[in-house]
Amino acid sequence: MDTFEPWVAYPPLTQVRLSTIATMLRDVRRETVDKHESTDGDSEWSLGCRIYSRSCFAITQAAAKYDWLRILNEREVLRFTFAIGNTPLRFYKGNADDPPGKYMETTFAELNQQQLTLEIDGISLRDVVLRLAVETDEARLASSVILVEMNGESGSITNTYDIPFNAEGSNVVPMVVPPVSLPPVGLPTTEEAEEAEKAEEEVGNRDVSSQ
Amino acid sequence: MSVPSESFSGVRLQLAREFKGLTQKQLGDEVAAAHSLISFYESGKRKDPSHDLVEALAIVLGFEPGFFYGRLEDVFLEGQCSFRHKRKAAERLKDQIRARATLGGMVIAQLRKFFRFPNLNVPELSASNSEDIERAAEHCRKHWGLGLDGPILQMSRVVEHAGIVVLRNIIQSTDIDAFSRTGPTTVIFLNQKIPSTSRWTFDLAHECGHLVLHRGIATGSIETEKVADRFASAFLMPRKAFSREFTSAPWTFKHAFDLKKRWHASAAAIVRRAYDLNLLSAVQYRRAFQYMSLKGWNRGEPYEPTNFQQPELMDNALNGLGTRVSITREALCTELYFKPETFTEITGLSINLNQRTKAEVLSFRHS
Repeated sequence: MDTFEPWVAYPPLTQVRLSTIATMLRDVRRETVDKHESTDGDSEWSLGCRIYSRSCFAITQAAAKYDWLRILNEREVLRFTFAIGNTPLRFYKGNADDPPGKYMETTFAELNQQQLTLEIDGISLRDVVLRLAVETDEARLASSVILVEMNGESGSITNTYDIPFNAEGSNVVPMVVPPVSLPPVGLPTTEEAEEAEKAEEEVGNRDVSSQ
Repeated sequence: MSVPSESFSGVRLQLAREFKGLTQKQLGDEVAAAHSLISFYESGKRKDPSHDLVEALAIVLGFEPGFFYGRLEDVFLEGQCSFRHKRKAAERLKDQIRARATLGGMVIAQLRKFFRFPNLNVPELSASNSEDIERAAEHCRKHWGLGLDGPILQMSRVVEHAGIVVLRNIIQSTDIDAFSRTGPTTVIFLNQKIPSTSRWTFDLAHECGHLVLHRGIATGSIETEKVADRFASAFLMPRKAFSREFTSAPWTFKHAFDLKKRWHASAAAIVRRAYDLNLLSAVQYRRAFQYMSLKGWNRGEPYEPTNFQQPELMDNALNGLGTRVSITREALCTELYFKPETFTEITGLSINLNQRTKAEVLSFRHS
């Protein structure tokens, strides 16, 4: 598989934006796992529900902060769908190379958004489904968050991108120095050069005699 | 056959033969002479070849018979020349290019009689480590008034202002990128058969590195080529300014190509520069080159700068013949004892034969 750079195919999906979401999903999971108390009756099922609910909440809160992030209206429950720019996404817990069947389906919100993406950004998402796979370790913490691009009909994975955590775009506008521009090299004829030298010499002599 | 009063020059015969890319045997076959005879004439063991032989040599090699007589003022010697080439480049090809360069030098020497070329103004420095090379490149940028912050878009003008003549029509093979020579006439030959403007800019800076750091030193080793490469990188992409811009966005090839458009350096040169300045790790560097290879960018990169500034000095001088000075191209060609096609091969400019021969042509039409 070729090295996949999501922002080439989907310009709204910049590395920084994807990283913001990935870092958020990782942090929410860690905080929720920390609060997990099996001795007080918490179960794996309740932990999963809690992480899902808190993750949706965190993304919804973030949508108020970032103008590039929106929550899409979905008719069905437990089909949380959001958009970066106009590109729709969903997230799931599991391996990138083995997405759960229900996450291969295109949601109603996604279908609506795909039409909008084509109209506004000129990006055709027909037959393409984008998911964020939250892969976990033995401690149930997020080890990586991977953008998965798959075929909406067949469910086959076409590309993956391991999103770096905490990627930062510079908020400093770099100083852009204009390029160095040189004039063409002068090429006087020998006669012209001698005349110029003579004239220069005369000016020099005049300056000396006037002092 | 009228020839100058000077004696036959074996050096000139060798020069003409190497210009044509012929071995002594091949030339001997062309003029029905033993290769040992050619060898004797070249080494000076035998003098005064017959007029018939000189005329035959002249026809085969592309010169007037008078070319083979008299002292040759400025031969481009092996020790004065640096080649930027592929490993497979043959020694015979280098000899041919050196011969072509010597002929180019003869044209420049003639042009100097009529035009005042800029004086040579190239610092002579030494470097024993990367830091020295960085400093040498920065010194040159300051010396030539280029500052340490901006990209250089007209590398050919930089070297021409420094008194180096850039020629383009010498190299006919893609095995050699560029060539430079220090001596009475300091020149850089740029191979534009390789269609990559970012590479031309880098080649000019690379040869500049040889002229600055390797004067009087034998070049061509992996070590001297690496030094010239590092000089070129440091000269075109000064470390502080480049680091600032490279780190202004996360590392992606899109960012590399944005930098390419601005700095007129290839993406490969940008990746290497970032690695040299510790802006990319060894793993990132390796992956980047694997990716570029996968994409086929090692054979030709996208987004080549379209506004490459062609060298102007030589063209301006040649185009000024017959207009700014009284001597014409045709007269210059005659003085050099070049055949018109040889003059064209060396300068890239054609000679209007009609102008010379119009008066001599008789009409066949009956009145």
